Amino acid sequence: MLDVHVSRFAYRRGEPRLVDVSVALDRGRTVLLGPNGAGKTTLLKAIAGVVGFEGSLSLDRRALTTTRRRPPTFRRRVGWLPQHVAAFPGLSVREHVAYVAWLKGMPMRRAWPEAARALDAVGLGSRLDENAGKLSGGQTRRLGIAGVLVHDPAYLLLDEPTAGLDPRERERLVAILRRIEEDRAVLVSTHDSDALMEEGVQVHVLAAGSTRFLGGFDAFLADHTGATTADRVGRAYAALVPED
Amino acid sequence: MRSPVPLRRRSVFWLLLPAMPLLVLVVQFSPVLAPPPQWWTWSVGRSVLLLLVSAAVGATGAALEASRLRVRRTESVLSVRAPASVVTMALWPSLVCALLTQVFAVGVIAATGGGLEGAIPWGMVGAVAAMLFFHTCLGFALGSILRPVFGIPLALVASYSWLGFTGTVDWFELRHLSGLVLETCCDYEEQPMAASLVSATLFSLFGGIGLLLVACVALRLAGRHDDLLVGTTGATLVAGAAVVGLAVATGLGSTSAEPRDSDDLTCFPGEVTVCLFPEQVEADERSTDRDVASLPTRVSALIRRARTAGVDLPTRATTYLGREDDPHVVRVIYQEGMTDELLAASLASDVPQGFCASDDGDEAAQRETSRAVAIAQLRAIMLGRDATMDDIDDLYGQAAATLESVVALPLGAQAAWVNEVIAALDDCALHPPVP
Repeated sequence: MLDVHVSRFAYRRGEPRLVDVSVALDRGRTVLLGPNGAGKTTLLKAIAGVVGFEGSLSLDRRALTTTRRRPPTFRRRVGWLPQHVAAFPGLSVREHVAYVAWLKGMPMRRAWPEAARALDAVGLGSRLDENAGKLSGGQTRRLGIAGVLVHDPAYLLLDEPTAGLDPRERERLVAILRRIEEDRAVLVSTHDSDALMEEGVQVHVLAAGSTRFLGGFDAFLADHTGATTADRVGRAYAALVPED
Repeated sequence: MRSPVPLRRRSVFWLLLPAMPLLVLVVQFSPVLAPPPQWWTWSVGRSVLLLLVSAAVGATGAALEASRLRVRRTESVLSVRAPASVVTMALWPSLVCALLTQVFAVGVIAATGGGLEGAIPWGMVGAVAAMLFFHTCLGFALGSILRPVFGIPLALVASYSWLGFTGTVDWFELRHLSGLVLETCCDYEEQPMAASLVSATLFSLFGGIGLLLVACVALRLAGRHDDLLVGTTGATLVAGAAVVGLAVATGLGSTSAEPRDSDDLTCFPGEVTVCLFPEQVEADERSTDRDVASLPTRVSALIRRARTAGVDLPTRATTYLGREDDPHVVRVIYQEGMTDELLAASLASDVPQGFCASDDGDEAAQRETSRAVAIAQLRAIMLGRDATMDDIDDLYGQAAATLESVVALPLGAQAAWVNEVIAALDDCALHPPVP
């Protein structure tokens, strides 16, 4: 169980980006919705340890520092996929993922086969020897997910993984997510509620740095009607964040 | 064992392809004026000039590696590996390639003039390796801090400029700090100054480590350590290493060579004792015909001939350059392939300089002319022939008459005149005699 409470975070003094935001991850998907500038990326960075914050953090009931100095156990168990995935220049697809695994502390004799396995899981098993820098946008995103999966973290933080993808790539990515989240907790920030909002997910709506809604999918849609689920999601979201 | 980044993906190995031919070209177009000493110390020292190439390989290769890490520096925050492990993994191929290039440079120099006789000067080798480490770290730091489009070319420029700039300034301590001054080391009679080696080695090692700490912060590899502390420690190390290196080099001149330790001399006793460094004897055996006498025998014979003629030369000849004003020895400088003619010239030129503050213009000219003629005459006596004007560097146009008078004297009187001139050169109260 990963419990996070950000009581306050600011890049600049006097301009808080997150205030009183709590996240609890156990298993399954939590969709983080919100307008641009709501603090979604910042929240993921704070949880991952890319930035420090004021508040509390515990992993499996063990309190940890909220600064960037997270212990190796935390770094191994939490995987973070930034919005913009960059491949290591000059490496093949498999070499890239193996290198990421090595950076996560895995010995190379394990990292090499694990890289192939992770790439298989994201549908890049046939492209192991291709130049990682030559992949398309969607493939690069999947490459990033393989890099996160390779060290088998229990908690995945994915920042807008479907942004800019064509419908086919998006579908493929959602299918991958469904497989991943069977035995992991996934916190995924998105604008793309159509693709990622479905029965059983947790919903967290963030606006202006604070939580507007936190609860199950059904609770999120309650009191909102529409011809399709997408309509209902759109209305529920608009009711919570009228400014977007 | 598979490397996290396979060797074939390390761009620095490709840099070796232009670097090696470039080294050969530079050596070909940097002719050495005198026959180069055939020993390790000279070859390693001379190779320092070629740091311009090997340091560029290290710096550029390291900048390329740093740019690879820089692309994903945000994710590096979550790396589990120790920063030292990540940096070492990124850095070692560049350092190894720089060292390989330098070894190749020593080889090219040895093959095209210098040689590899004698003992390996480990102090110099360590200093050169430390300098390459510094340049590799410099490239790594620039590649970490700047975008590749700026960082990689700047690494090349910075490495080249650091060597080029410090090699030309009149602030000699800085030359010792950067280490390029080692290029002036060393003939057979010389050895590298310990202070010069320590200055370059200390600065290069600690400055390099400081740059790596700065790079760790730029690449966000500092991990669980405080960025500000790590960055400040790195910058302080660079500055501190420079201050300590400059302090160690305080007072050193434009060369890093000093007279070689006299303990290394091998003396050949006889009527005239000749003390030489072993590499000189070996080099002479290599470079002269088998029917020519050995170097100590030739030196001894030249001095004996002068003494038999009546010149008061000491019975001890040495190639040791220390204790310059010791009147009980005559010094000889040896270069590869020296003939008796050149050996005699070297022995004869060891007469005192004869600079006297009390001399007026005419007296100074006379003293200098007498010295020039005495050297020529001494050399001629050693070789058993008459001196000619071709033997004389006639600065004042007065030597011809003096030489004519000296040559007209009987051999004993010539020797006596030479003795009187040497005495006058040693004592400003005396005036050189007119023959």
